[in-house]
Amino acid sequence: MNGYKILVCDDEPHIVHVVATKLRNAGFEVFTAGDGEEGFEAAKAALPHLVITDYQMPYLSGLELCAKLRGDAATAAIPAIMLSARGFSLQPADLRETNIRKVLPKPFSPRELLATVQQVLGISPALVAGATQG
Amino acid sequence: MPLTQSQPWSQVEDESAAAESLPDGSAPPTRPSGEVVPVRAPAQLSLKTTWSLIPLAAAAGWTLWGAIHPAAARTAGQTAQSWLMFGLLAATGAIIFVASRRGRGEQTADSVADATSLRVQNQLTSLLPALDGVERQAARARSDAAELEDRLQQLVVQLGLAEAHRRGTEAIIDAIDEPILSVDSFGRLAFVNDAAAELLKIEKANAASTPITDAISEPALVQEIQQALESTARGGARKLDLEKDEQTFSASLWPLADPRKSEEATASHGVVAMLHNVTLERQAARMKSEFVSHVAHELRTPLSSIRGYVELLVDGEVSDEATRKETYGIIQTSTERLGRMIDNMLNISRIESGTVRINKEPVSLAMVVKEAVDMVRPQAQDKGLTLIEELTPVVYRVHADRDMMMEAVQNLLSNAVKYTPAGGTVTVRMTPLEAERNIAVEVSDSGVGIPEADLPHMFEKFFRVEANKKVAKGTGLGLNLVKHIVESVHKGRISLTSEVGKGSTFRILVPLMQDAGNGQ
Repeated sequence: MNGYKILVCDDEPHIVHVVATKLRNAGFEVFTAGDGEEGFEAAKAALPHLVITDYQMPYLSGLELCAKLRGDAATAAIPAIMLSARGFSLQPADLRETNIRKVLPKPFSPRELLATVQQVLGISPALVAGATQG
Repeated sequence: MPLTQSQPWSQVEDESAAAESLPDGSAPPTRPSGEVVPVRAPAQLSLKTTWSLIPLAAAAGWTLWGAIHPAAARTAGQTAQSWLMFGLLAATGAIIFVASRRGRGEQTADSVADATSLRVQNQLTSLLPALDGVERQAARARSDAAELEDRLQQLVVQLGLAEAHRRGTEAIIDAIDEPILSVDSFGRLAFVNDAAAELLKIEKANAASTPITDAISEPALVQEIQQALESTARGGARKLDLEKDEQTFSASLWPLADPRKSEEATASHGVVAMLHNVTLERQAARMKSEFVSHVAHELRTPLSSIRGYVELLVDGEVSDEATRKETYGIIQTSTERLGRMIDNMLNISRIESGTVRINKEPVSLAMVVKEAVDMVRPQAQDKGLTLIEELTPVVYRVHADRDMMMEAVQNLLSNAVKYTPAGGTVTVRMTPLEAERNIAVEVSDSGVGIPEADLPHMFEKFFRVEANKKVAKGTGLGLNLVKHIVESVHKGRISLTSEVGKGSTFRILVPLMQDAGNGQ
């Protein structure tokens, strides 16, 4: 374990499974949620270092979830990575009002996602590699 | 005019009158020779000839006047002719009178009279060509007048034709349901067709020559017209989007060239504008773009699973055999889901565009339903569901494409199984409705049900009940395809009733064949 906690939020269980497997193998502690509402509750409870969320989800979209996290004092500083099957990039205003650092289009490569996670958290790949071995 | 012309003549008359009334009343003043006579005799003779020439002059004058005024020419000419005849008669009378006085008059007077008569005759003779000229002029004036009248008639006819032509052109432009208007070079309305008058709420009767700033309440359109007026005639069309009455119009403005000038760079002579209603086009474009975006999203989701799992396997991140096996299974279901989605989309698209190959034949609907039930039976058993069949005898036949009908029924059954929790019931009930020559197939479940607000959208492409998304996976295309198969291909009907937490019933009605139910 490298000491970093990550919340993965997607209504597609397979996607959650793939992402969680990749991150756990890399030494991260992973929590999962199946929709935006559930994601918000999980984030408040676990206070992860990073949130990875799908864009289109029932009840609360990924964007709404990120805005809500930003609006809550406890979770306001948590950065986010968004996965999107929609073929558009986010508006500058969306990015300003949330902590979304990067948008990855679906289908994404788990390797690429891991590299992005490390970049956002400012962790060197070597540390992660060491963590995996340990 | 004849009076003023005769003025000099009357002066001569006065002189002669004065000469006659000499105080002594006797013979005229002593004449050394016969040569003295002309002093008096012409005066005496001129008195008589004068009277006879007055009508002549009058006639000539009248004729001339008539020639100058073509309108009166015809009657004037006739009058001139009669006056001329009268004048000639009067002159002849005067000559006879002078001649008859010769015998009684003095010798000198007689010879003088002869000479005078001759001179008068000569004068009259010399007047004849002039009168001929007058006559010719009168005739020419008459023919000119007739020609003018002909041309006037032609112009009246041409004007009538032009007016009819204009009305015809206006009727054509009025018949076009696209709003069209034209503006003159001063920025005033020149023409508004019915559609434009209705759209822009312009009163057509008072529209002509109204400044567009008063007549048109759309500032953007007015501004664009003004700019088009300032541009050159060859400037090309200007375009403008206009939102009005919740509709979108694409306005095209073309500058009109001055028909009297040919130079390229002349300012436009006016502007013609057409407001094309693009509401439906824009709506279709938006729907198409949404559809493509939706399809892309739906295809990317299973593709993401496949890509993710394959990469994990390639990178050796799935270590134990059991998880690896599970992963292969997920990749397999995801590819199947992708394939099914593509098939559904293509089938819907083919039915919508009418390019689908339909093989209709007499089909026993009960056989089709039985086969579909058998196909979903394993899934139902896996979930511990009770599957109830209430089928009609096989004699009830429908004119159907067997494969498509099978797909529709199977889809409904598959949904029922997917959205019914373990221990529930799925029922297929067939009912012949011979009175209305239909056969009904009902698929009911004791499943999760559909919220009332979602019921109207259930057959729309890609619509999925948000609350039930976690219950089962779907493409959002299955029910749309069923509706197309039942209604578009088989002229049947599909309906749905549902209650959240209790279950749903999908009912399809398919027309029976004519020989159906006759015991064959």
